[in-house]
Amino acid sequence: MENVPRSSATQPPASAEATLISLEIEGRPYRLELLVGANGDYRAHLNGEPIGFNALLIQSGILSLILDRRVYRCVLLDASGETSIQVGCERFLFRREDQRSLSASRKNRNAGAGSQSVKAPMPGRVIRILVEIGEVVETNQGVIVIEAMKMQNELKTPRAGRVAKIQVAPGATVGANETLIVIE
Amino acid sequence: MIEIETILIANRGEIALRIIRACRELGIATVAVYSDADRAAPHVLAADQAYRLGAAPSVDSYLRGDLILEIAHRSGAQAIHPGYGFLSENADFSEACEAAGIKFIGPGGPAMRTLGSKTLARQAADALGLPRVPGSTSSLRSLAEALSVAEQIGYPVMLKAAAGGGGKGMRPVFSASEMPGSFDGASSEALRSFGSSEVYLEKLVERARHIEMQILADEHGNCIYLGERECSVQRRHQKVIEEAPSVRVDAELRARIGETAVRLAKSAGYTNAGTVEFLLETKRDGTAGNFYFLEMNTRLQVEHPVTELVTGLDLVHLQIAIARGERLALSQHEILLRGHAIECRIYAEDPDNGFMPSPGKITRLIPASGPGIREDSGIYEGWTVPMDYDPMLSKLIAFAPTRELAITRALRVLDDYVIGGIRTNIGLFRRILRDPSFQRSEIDTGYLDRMLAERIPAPDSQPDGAGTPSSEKLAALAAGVFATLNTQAGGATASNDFPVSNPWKQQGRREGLR
Repeated sequence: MENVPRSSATQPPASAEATLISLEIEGRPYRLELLVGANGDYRAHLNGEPIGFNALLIQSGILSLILDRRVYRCVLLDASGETSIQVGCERFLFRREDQRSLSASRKNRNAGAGSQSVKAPMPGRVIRILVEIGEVVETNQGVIVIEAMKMQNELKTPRAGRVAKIQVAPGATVGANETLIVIE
Repeated sequence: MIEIETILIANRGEIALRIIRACRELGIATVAVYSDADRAAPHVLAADQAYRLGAAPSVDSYLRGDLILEIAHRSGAQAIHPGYGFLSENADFSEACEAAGIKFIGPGGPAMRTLGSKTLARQAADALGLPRVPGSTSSLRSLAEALSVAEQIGYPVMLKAAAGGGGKGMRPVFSASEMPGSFDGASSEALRSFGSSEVYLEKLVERARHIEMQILADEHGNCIYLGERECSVQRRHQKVIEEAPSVRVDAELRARIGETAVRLAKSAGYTNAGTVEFLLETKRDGTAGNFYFLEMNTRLQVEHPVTELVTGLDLVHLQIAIARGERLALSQHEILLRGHAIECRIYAEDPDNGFMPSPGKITRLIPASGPGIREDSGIYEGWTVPMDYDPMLSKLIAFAPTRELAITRALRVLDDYVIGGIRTNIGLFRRILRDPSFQRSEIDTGYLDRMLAERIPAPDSQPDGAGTPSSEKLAALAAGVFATLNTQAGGATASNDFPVSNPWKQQGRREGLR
């Protein structure tokens, strides 16, 4: 299969037909203009750099991409709320910038004041709770033990504070990302 | 001779499937059992009959020997294959099967009791004068006894659960001051994991290789060995990679270790498949030193496929033949090893995050295949891996004429293999198999823990030719194409496939190169 010749890719895509996409790959922003041609030929501008390639969706989530005669298998993957693209055997976390800006969500995560929570990193069962409501805890203190797949994991506090809420009881089944304990 | 036309498989996951496949090859009907978490599990779909056991926890399902025997009767099964784990090393269950007139495919209760107990097996080894790791041959009654035994054999020592396995209830102790905490820790973990707090003590042999010998014994007194497996790549005493044969074991040493294993098995009237584990010392010059008996596993093991590949035998077929009362059709001189096999245990765990378990839905599975590749898998795309059982997803086994080719073949298939939706340790195997120490087979049971502790940075990207776009740019292009395709499809799958507002993790997860 032949690629779009590089020379034609240097022509800026007609803006009326090009799709403009803002992406973050591994935390770095990418601005992508994409113009679809015939037979899976694409002309793109990635952060201003012109690139021509051919792409074919061979199965939902699996893309065969040919660029400069080299073939790449690109697989769309998602795991517990994170989406990544695997190129060959290398994985890249990505998200499309949309409604919520990344800087805003990052600000929320790193807010020094207010409450923070200990969340379940995976689905599991609550084995023990190591603190009580009102107890003062230090950063990185073990507060709850979750078991999954015959492995017990002690979860630790993200920062120092006081235990405001304990949302689960021993024996409870919890889902990934579920809030277990709130620290104020 | 016992008629065996139907076998109940008292297990789940890849091993249940592997046994069902062997039964189908032999024209034997199969009965699956399942917990509430496993109705959709692949072993249920593969069997001829299936029966519900109970709720998800093992104690309510796969450990319910009484229920399993009742199902064996109802389903018309003449035999039970226990696989590994669960009831496979439970001597009471083996005896209950015998009493109920159901053939247990494994050793009888008394032999299992003698050789399956770590302390009794050590006594059996002593009675035969076999070399074993120095230490206690009975359970320690108190901390004081632990301290005095450790003093006699000299630190460092290893505390181990008498009923143990899988690295649970084990603690290395380097000095007397560490003993009280380690003794309590090992005892309570042993109690939690195996229902018995009994622990014993062994000299910690540092920089030793884990070498184990596969044996097969029929019910007419014949016993042979099928060669060793090298299982020195371990994380916290759990095997991660297994190979056959071992680079450090030559024909003469193989015969000595093999004959030792056979003597031990015969002394207890052991029958069916079993594995005798040894530690092999490495001399200063890198050659093999003395070997010591460690313990025996009285069942088929996870890593049995590497032995199957280098001997050309099917161990499950042979187990069933032995259970039928047949004589071993092979004699020792007919066991010839050819080529090299390497097995990678693919687990649902995250090596980038403290090996946290990662159950959940498998949204993407691109299986492993091609020349010299065997994938013993217990998963399928769209299946949700339950949180209730061990994290093993599949075993990737590469077979080639030489060890070097087996490594490159394993690396090739690890690059092809994709499991998405959950985290796996696939990237860890790429890292180990590329490690020069592993490639030279300069390994011992502490090798992997040391390598992980060193936190060697991942080798920088693949050998990109000049002018080749970075993989990250390609990922950006692919992301763009996926985005436009989703838009064209009316966005029906967009919410599933495309992240817009999920919590963003800054740290790279280039799993492929770790």
